[in-house]
Amino acid sequence: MPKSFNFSDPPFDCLTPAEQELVRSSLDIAFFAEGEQIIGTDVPSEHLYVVIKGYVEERDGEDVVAICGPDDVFDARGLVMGDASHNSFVVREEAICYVLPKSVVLDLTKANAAYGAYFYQDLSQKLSRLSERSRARELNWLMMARVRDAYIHPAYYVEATDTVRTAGREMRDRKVNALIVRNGARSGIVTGMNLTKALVLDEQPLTAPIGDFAHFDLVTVRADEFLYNALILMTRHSIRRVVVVDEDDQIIGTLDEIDLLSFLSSHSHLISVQLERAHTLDEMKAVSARMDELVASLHVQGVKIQFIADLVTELNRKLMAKLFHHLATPEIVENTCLVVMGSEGRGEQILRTDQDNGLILRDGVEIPGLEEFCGCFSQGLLEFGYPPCPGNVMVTNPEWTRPLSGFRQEIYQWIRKPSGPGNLNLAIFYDAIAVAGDASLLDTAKSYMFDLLADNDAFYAHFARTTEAFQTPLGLFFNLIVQRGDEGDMVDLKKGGIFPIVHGIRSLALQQRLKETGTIARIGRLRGQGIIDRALAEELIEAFNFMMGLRLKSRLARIAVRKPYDNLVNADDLSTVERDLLKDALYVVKRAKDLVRHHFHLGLF
Amino acid sequence: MTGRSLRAFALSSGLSALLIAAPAQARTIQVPWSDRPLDLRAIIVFFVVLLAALAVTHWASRRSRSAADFYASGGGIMGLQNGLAIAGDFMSAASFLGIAGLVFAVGFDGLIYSVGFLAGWPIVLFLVAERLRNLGKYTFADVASYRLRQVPVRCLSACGSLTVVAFYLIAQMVGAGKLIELLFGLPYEGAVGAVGILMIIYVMFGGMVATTSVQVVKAVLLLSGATFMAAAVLWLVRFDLDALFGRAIAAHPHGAGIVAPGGLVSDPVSAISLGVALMFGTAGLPHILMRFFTVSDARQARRSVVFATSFIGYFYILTFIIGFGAIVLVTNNPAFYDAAARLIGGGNMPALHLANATGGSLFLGFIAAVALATILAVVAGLTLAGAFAISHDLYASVLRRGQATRREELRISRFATVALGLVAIGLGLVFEDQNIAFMVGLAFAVAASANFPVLFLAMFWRRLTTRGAVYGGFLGLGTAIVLVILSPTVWVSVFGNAQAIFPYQYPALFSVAVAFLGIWVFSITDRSAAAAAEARAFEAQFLRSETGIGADGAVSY
Repeated sequence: MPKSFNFSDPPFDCLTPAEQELVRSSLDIAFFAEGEQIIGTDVPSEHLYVVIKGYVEERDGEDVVAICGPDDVFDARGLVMGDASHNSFVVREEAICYVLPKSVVLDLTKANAAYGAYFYQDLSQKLSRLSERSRARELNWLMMARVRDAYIHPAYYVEATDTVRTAGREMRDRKVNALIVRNGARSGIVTGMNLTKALVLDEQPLTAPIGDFAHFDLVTVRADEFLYNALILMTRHSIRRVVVVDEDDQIIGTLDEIDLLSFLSSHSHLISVQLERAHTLDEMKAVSARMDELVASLHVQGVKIQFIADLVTELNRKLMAKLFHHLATPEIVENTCLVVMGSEGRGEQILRTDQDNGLILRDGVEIPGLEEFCGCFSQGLLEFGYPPCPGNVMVTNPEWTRPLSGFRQEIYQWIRKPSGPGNLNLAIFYDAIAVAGDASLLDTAKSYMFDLLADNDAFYAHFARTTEAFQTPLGLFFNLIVQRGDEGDMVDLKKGGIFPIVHGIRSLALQQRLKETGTIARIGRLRGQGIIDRALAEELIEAFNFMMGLRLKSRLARIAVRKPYDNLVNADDLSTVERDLLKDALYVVKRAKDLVRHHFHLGLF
Repeated sequence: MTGRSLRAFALSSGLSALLIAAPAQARTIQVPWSDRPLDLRAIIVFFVVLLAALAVTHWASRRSRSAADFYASGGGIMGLQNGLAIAGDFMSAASFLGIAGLVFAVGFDGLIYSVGFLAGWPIVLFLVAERLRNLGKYTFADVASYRLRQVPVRCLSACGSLTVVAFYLIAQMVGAGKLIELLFGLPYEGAVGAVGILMIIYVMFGGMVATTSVQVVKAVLLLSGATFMAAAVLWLVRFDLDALFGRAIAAHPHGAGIVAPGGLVSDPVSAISLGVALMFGTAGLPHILMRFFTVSDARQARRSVVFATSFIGYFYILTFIIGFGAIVLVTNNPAFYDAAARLIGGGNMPALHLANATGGSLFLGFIAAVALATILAVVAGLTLAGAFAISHDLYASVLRRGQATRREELRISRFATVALGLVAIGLGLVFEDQNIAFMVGLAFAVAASANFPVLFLAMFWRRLTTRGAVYGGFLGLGTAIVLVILSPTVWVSVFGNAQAIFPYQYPALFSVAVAFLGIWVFSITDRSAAAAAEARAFEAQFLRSETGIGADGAVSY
């Protein structure tokens, strides 16, 4: 039990007496002869070493990158990162070292934030380290994916004796590009390209039997095969699709190269394709039901939150557009613009929270059946799992379904006669994006809004005030302020962190008349204009993404147990690293609020 | 937080009850650093009330409203609230301690400050308030640079604002220093240092806010304290003003002279000069002009001036009564004079002695705490204005030519806060024996000479050019500062010369005239193309300032 261990050097200087005792009791002393390799390149290190006497070289391959002398600590990074591809450590001059087991070190990093901070330096590095780990996981997951995980086109059959015309019609009606051709016991495949070649190049009549052009030497793959094997197969045979079979070699369907690649790159293509194929409300509903699964699986795979958000936004908008076109009469499509607003407009609604939509109508056009359409649309979204908007920002509300001139009047009121509700509406509308119909209607309304915005600083200050409406739950001593609830200590991520960023950035963006609607895109533009400096912009984006991710994680957990979700996270469920990151993120929020307060002179209100 | 402030209240009222019930023993304490015994009860009450006041202001300024919906707080501040806030920003320790002190010393003529401070408000109402809100500008530099060139105009405005803030801060420092000196028996230097550091901490850790609600709380505290004191005085004379004046004449060494004019300002030049400063100065005070930024629209801006004027007028009537009350109750009471027959704490402290004379040490502690809380709140507003002038006008616009990020600006404004605090301590030491109403008068003189002419002409005179505004503004500012230095106040009192070079104490009549003349001459002789463009831009600005309507095409998107 060495009493002489020096606790005054980092990272040991921040340990509590009890933790020091733990270190003391776990310490060993080891002697290493000159030339001995203490840590090898490919063996993960199991100990943390503190040099007492002598010198140890840190080598990257053959190059000496550092020399550790008395009181130096190695190899902190390798230990925490746990990767095998680290530098090697070789004794230069016979050395005596303290040896601390890896488990003790890791326990301490979890228990003692300051000690842990030595291993994870600042927020930025920490987060990127986390996402590095995630990326590795994602890659791993892709390698593990099976054929059945990807989208498999159902098999549609034609007989070999059917004509080319029949096959062509079948392809068109089914919206597929390949059909399985049955010829007695044998099965073959015919593709659109085969038909084209037969008709155009070989000048075959439309009545020719399809069996003549099919390939009966099928390249098949089992559904439980690894997906990358399917890719290898396609590459080897220079083909664009393989036939998928089950264990009994029965044909299940076809796997297209494009779907395979999409799956490997995003996984979302599947839903997208399904969405395109959906014709009935029930089919759309089935697709929308899969979106939460998609989000959950992407999240579990460790896909970056921003990427998930982009994807889900894209799908949500497609779904809405689809529903719109499904329900709308040609007059409605022609003369209206469906807009989504708020978080949906910003592209930050990852799980469906509520409907925030409106309809801009062309001036002077009487549209029959509009009211019925709005009701059906809203009802349809409700069935898809989008609850009604508590603020009633919905197409069913005449406030948000009105002619362009009506919107212009509203905008005039919001800007010229500012009020609490007016500011709220302006904020919602500023985030609007056109989803279906005539997008130029929204463009016109928005340019009118930008035209009206004069450089009246007081107006922007009043608009920005809400940024400060809620306290950031971070105490004077960098402690997390929690709300005691029935289910434990909760932190409101929206009020405490996400909303201030969104609204503060929105206020700055509105003043600069930025056309972007997403918070992250706005941050990027504000940085470009010198309103926010680079470091803060990066930290803000990271903090924002981190909190969105945390909220998503908490919501998914609640969905899993079939409980309604909100903006709260349970502080007790957070890991130490998450807790620290959350505090760091909230600190960034605090600094951003300071900046917004200074910029808009909110200290005066 | 509500719970905490309630507890503080309960504690304070409980303690007060205890103190009232306590027997008279152990009321004073002898401390090694002072040769006179200190009033222990007053000190305890002082701390209790001060902490309670700070707790209430903290509670009131909390940004978060638990029940509030996200946007419920929007829409701006209403006239009554903002009127109280303006009154809170305006009624500094100077008004309270200084005017009472002047009335105590010279009687009727002390009223000239009350009237003058009040007379500035119609000018704010008719010329400034509504237009400022319509233009939606934060400082007068923002207004002036609407059509004039940013860099030189901001340079001028920063210098003007900082000089005003400095003079105003001096008054607050002297008031607070004297107050602490009186209450704790500390030497003046130590008292000023302690107060200065307390102010820096208050502003820095208060999050650099001078919120409307803080000023409202402060205004209510001050108004109720002053009302109580005036009522106590009137009650003593059975609400008979004749009796009050009669006893005052009997008590005062000047006799009947205290109810006649001429005791303070004897020659017409000084009288007019002071009047000019006080009337036009108000519309040039940066921390007052900022207050029109927070109201929801021009109508509320007008209303808030009307409310503010009423509160301020009422308050000055009170200070007058308090001053005469002090003549009656303090003048011949040996308890308030030291061995050399000088008033303890100097000429700014009669109001506090009067509190002691009417309500005993409990009331002394209360009034002292209210006065200090007032001073802190005014300092917060002043520092906010000063730090903004340094960080935004001088640093970001002039030094960095608009290339500074907001974060750099924010950092500079924090440094500026500390620097202003230190400067205030230094100046507070230099101007120890000046009457603080007089020092505030000087701040008004500078505001009237440098800020007001530029603001006024920028809003109303088409032919104002950048050259005219900057040359004329600096001439006015320079004249005001030089004349103050050459006046008896500095040349004789501070530098110790026998004879002042400039015979009048009040520079405004000359410096305001120089400013207007300079602006006019340099504007009409400016034949540059830029000047013509500035004149052309007047129409759009004028329309906006009158109606609030009119888009701005300058920003590209």
